[in-house]
Amino acid sequence: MKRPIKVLVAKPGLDGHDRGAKIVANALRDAGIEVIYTGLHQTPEMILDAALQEDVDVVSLSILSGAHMTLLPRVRDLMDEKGLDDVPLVGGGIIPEGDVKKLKKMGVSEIFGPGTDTRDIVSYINELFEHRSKKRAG
Amino acid sequence: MTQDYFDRFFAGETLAASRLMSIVEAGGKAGEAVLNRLFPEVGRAYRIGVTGFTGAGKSTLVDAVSRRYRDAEKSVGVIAEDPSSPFTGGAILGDRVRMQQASDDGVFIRSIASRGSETGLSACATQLADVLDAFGRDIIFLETIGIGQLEYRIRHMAHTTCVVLTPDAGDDVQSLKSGLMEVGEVFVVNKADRENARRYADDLRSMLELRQNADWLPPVVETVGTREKGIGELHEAIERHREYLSQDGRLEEKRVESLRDRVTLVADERLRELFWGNDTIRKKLDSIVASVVAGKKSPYEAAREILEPLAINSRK
Ligand SMILES: Nc1nc2c(ncn2[C@@H]2O[C@H](COP(=O)(O)OP(=O)(O)OP(=O)(O)O)[C@@H](O)[C@H]2O)c(=O)[nH]1
Ligand SMILES: [Mg+2]
Repeated sequence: MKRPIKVLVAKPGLDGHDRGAKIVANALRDAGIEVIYTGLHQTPEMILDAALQEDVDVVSLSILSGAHMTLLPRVRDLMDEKGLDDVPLVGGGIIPEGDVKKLKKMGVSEIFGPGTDTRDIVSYINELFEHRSKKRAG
Repeated sequence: MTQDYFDRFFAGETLAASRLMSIVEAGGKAGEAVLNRLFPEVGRAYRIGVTGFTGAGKSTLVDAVSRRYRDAEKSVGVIAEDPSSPFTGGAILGDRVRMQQASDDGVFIRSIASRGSETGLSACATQLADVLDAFGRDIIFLETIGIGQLEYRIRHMAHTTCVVLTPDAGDDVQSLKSGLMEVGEVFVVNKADRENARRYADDLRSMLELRQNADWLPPVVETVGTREKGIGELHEAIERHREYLSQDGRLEEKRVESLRDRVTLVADERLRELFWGNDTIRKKLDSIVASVVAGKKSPYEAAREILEPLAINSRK
């Protein structure tokens, strides 16, 4: 049974524009994905609520504010606490190489830098989804 | 697995409710089994339908009125539908963007893509509402996709249907399609901060009076969703309609109507699947179409012929 993948696209933090998040949302939509778009200024708790209520397959956060080292791990922890430990979390934004490594160790699946081709994001998400479906079924 | 979900569901766990909704959304036997299991628990929630043109302010108003219900300690659920792209099947479900303030533990918002359904609210939206109903939500809002044309179905899916209009929507009230007038039990003129709102609302009122044929005259409420204006009035108007329904067996009547609609809808869908999914029928279709192409039969004769296996007492 093939169903559309559902991805939560959220923009945490205080900075006021979500162009990057919108570009990602549109690219995912064009790839046949159902995007739940929450808009700006999301707290980690709001992101968690949305992920729980919408039962998404992947959570994608777009971060510009530089608060990635607190926001991403915080969302990851909340998700793990509430039973979403098998839902991948990905991030996008300007994040230094060293931090990327640390974040991955903390359970963030992937980080997409500013220049990333949206097609790469799409295929990465497709792979994540297949992998997870197999794991759940098996 | 599913039994585990049910236990957690009845213990009030959000994730369990959410996973059961996904099973329902995926459809098939598993989805149906969930709906069957929950059906005895369905029917306590009060359902409020919200329809209207794209961008009229439906989500903004749902958010604002939700807060009133939260203040009254009612738990709230929202099913918000947005269109799927007919080309890719993908969708951007953006209703949450305008539903930030009401988002606390008491408000369960679930977005849903239309996935090829041609009505403003897919059959699946009602099913998800059923899950939230069984989950114990007191009030459930059903937001349709922004409609260009009409949405009749919502009548059967909600107790109170609100039609959200804006002063600039259809130039003047005269141009509103008559179906839209009939489907509304509460009318909202949102964006009342805009010019002409008062006149638009007055025109709407006199039009509704003119057409009135039941005991219920739909009220017209002017609101500014973004500034909390008129929200109390809207909340009251909904509650007044609820009060009206609760008298003279109207609620029960509505229930029967809505369940009849539901059974017919499901049976209709199943019938098509069974019929067109049948190999013999499909082969027969090919040969009948061929005879239409050859000019031996009209399309009407052909249709009649292909439906022959269904001729259960059709003469009567
Ligand atoms: N000026 C003004 N703008 C409003 C009002 N209510 C909502 N808006 C704005 O109108 C836009 C659309 O509002 P939504 O609540 O998303 O409308 P909707 O009907 O849910 O839209 P769809 O779900 O896309 O059909 C948003 O930018 C709102 O901020 C109002 O009373 N006045
Ligand atoms: Mg909306």
